[in-house]
Amino acid sequence: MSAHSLVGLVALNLVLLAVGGTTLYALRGLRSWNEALRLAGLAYMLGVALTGVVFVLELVVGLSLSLPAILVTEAALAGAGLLTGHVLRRPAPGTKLTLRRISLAGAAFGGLAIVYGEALFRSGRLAGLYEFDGWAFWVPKAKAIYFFGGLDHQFFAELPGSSYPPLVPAFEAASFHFMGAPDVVTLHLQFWFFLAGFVAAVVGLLSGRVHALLLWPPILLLLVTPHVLRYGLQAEGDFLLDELIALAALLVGLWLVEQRGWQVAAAAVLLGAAMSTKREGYLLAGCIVLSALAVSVQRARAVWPRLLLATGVALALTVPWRVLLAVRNLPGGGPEAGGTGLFSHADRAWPSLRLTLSTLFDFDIWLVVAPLALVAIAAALLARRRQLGFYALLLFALAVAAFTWTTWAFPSLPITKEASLNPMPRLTGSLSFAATAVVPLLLGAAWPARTGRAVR
Amino acid sequence: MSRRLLPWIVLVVFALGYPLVVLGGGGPRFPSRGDCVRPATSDQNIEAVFGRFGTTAVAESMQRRAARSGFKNVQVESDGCGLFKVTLHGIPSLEVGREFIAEAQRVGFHPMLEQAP
Repeated sequence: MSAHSLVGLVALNLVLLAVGGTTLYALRGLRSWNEALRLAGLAYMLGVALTGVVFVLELVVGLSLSLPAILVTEAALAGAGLLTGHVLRRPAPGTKLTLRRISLAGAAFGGLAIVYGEALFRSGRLAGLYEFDGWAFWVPKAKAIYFFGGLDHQFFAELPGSSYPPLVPAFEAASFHFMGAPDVVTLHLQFWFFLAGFVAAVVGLLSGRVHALLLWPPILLLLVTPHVLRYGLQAEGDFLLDELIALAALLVGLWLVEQRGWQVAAAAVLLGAAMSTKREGYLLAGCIVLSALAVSVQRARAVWPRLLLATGVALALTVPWRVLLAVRNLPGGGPEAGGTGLFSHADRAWPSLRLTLSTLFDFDIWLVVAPLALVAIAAALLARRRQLGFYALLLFALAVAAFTWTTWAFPSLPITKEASLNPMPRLTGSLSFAATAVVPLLLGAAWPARTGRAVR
Repeated sequence: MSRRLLPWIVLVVFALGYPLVVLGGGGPRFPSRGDCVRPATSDQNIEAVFGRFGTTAVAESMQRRAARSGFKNVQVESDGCGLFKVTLHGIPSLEVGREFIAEAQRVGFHPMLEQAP
């Protein structure tokens, strides 16, 4: 860790924020600097998602991911965002920035989150690269991109996880460029920025809709879960996937209620990035889209075309990587058991489901994140917020089914919560993050009269 | 105005409080080799450490020598401070440990009782 590396990392993340800010301006406009500040977390995560997807596309077509190439890419993305916003006559923030009124509860919870962030930063800035997947293939891929400029055929084919798209390695390589060296210690802080961006995004999206007492506790609960505390800054793709999926789930939930086009457009970008982060992204994106389709069946004519278009766009963003895998004869990352193999391994079905549920509800991994989500769903349903309640319930059930399938369809995985043998603790992270993002929305819908702006 | 400012003041106090307290305690310090040796003082998690070595080859040589002298289940482990320790876990109490040390010294070993991490 050095001051130079830290400054470089801060610069990279400011660039991502700028790209995301212009993207958000293009999607919805920003009426004031206060609004821009409130949505800075979402802007940052959109910048991460868009940049990550473009990095993958550039690597697939053989462009070198050098520092000048990164800067040109970011400038082009920011320019495109500004131009699109201007052409679409989006409202732009003026020159006035006033001190926004925040509640005392919001300030106290926000203060706790800041202290948590500072402590996590402190632990991450000297973290060694000990995590197996991190040093086995995530960071070696990043180093290959950093040193060779692109995807070295043989190297990427021989490393584990060859079917994973290089979104996270590309970000790690970009971090190396901005730090001026392949500093695998300070690299952990890039994942601190992702986590901070996620929290800021959820808070920014919901702070005007949900009272601080309902908004902050679920987020703080997630942050202090043993799994996040232990592994939140690992130089791997799991947590970024969780964060992208959770934000997409929240935006789709908001879109179901409010029907603002920018929400589903932003969700499409986030889902595209999630599917470009890890192969599980496809499964989880499918869970979100299916849940939204199912609960909007009565408004299918109005809702489904836009949702399906967004899904199509998100999927299209991942096609080039799939083409590259096919061209290079690399494994696609499909299930070991094959299409009908599930039936010949039917004895794994129940143990796989039991493993999923016992991991999700394991206090030593996720504290009470999942039970709280179920309580919030029940509260929303009891308050007759059926669409939102059933959306969350379906998302929960489909994700549980998806995680069950991952263990069932890979017979080489032992039925265990041991993270080095079965990825279940990491997989359940996506649902825990998504549940945390959606819980305040559900609680806000259940108690609209007391919680400020109503969420129907 | 003060009611409007109070939450922001709370936020700033939280934000500055933690780093000031941390910085007040000095910069980060890496553990020294001395920090890695915790002499046993209670009956919990006691191990007998036969020695610390810079390479696994030398540590394994000590492990083999101990095994030939009849000490079963002696293991080579990283001590977390850059060295490899040759150690025997599972000593139930300080009293048993002292008897073990005496027995080991009779056949030419000089293990130390430590509190395992």
